[in-house]
Amino acid sequence: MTFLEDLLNDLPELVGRMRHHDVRHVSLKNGTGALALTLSENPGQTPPAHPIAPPAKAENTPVPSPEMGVFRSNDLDEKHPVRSGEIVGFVEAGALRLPVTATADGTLGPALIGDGCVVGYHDVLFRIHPDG
Amino acid sequence: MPEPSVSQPHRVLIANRGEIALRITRACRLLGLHSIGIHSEADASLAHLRLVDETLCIGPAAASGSYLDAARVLRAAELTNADIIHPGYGFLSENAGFAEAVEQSGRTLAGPTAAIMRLMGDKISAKQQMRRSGVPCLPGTEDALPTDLSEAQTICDAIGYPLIVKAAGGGGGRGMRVVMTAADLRDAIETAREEAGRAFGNPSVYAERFLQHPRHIEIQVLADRQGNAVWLGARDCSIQRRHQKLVEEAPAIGIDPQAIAELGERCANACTLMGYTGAGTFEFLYEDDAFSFIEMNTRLQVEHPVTEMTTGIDIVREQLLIAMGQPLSFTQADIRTQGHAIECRINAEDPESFRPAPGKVLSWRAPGGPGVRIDTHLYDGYVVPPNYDSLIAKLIVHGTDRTDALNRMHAALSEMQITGIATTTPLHLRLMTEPGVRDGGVSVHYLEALMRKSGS
Repeated sequence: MTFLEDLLNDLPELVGRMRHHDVRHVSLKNGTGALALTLSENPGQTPPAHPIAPPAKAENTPVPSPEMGVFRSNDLDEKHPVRSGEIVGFVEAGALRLPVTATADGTLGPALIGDGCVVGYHDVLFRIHPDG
Repeated sequence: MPEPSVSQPHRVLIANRGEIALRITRACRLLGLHSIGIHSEADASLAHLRLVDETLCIGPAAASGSYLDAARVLRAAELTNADIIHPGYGFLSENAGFAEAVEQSGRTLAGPTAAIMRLMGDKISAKQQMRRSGVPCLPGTEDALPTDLSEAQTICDAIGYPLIVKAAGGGGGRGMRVVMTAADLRDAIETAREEAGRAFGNPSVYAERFLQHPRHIEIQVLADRQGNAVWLGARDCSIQRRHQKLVEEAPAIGIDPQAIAELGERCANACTLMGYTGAGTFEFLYEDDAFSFIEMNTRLQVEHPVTEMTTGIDIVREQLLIAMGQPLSFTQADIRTQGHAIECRINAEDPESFRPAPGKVLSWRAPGGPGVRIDTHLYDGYVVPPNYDSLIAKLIVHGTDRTDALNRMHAALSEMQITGIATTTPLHLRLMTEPGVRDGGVSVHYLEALMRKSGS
């Protein structure tokens, strides 16, 4: 087995020990190979694969439900242009009627949940497509 | 709320997470009940959510805004039209206010009534109820200690030392002080009161004789709404650390079975007398051949599987049937215990320091073979969140006798693989070969003494 293969086999134990001793970064090398380990702040989160993020790709922005409750549609047309903060629907949470607001400028996609359906806390209700 | 009919099954909301939510889901599926899994934002990938009929995210990761938020859980029950709520253990399972709100909403909690929870939740009223029912209690105060420290001193001097001052509304070791001599009493009462007030919102404390080397023995009961109550044998849960159980077994060895049977009968009778319904556990300290009541847990216990393995009774299924209003399908005479069962709690913790070790489970390989049961929500890639209890799996074995069970447990622990996070597995492996554990009958102080001895 190579140095690197040995290390990879021992990785779970090594990571456990690093967390135990609060060590965030380790660099190891010998004549045949080298390995640098960086742990994320929160266990379970994978550190980014690239130190420099690739150029951001235009992606749809989710519009979450503000609360657990019953979704009430605003009957907006499909491909409705919206501005960030615009009310695009409501969620009834007990006696409250909470607005669902657009999270970005762009074009609102169709509602992902039917009118009158139960929605969970922060469930995605719409997606907003960026213009251009 | 509509009453479920024959063609419309009961709708059960599972107000918990992790392994116990999966355990309840399995019982629902067995009974053909419609199951509803609620979860926090951090728990969207829990294993049982793939098996339930409906899921609903009820709040953020913090338990205070999700699993511990009674209003949210009740709103989830309304939104999903659930008629039964199974609280599991922990979280809201012994919250009388929640039980009352469930009752007022016209729903059924898989557990006793709010009134019974209040009665048994207050350690002083619980002891009074036990004395009335003939369940043995430690010598101690009948009521809360008076606020006047001189009066309290007189009462405690009469009980004798060592004694323990305990929070009336407490549990889990908080608001608890051991007093070795009369001179230490006043400080202990004041500290316990302060801690109890902060932890439980109730500064009342009481005192009782302190046993030096007791075992923790408990009796599992089941009671239906028709007034029938049975006991399902005893468990020994003496291997603990800071009042948290780590290994449990059934039956309790080295204790006269006739003495356990008499105690069990008294517990079942106590259930009938107070109108208890559902599953419950009477906890006792056992020293010098005598049992002394500590408290009653008015819910399902983490360690219920060892009783299931020795009696063959599915306790969670029975809980649901009782909640549906059905009478127990068996009597005390039908209950037999067979062989020996042991449970090891696999916690995401450092096995030496017991520091929580949340993180990503890189690989999970379950042990197997005859007599091996694993109750867990683990899977490859599962991330143990830092927000909740560290219990990630319960490894349970059943053998023909205790030695067989210990050997099976050692083999199963050796076979089990969890990589990516630290767990208590190495400690369990060690315990299964320790002479004290092999001999059996250790006291509640055994594990801490062992850890001290080995310098941990």
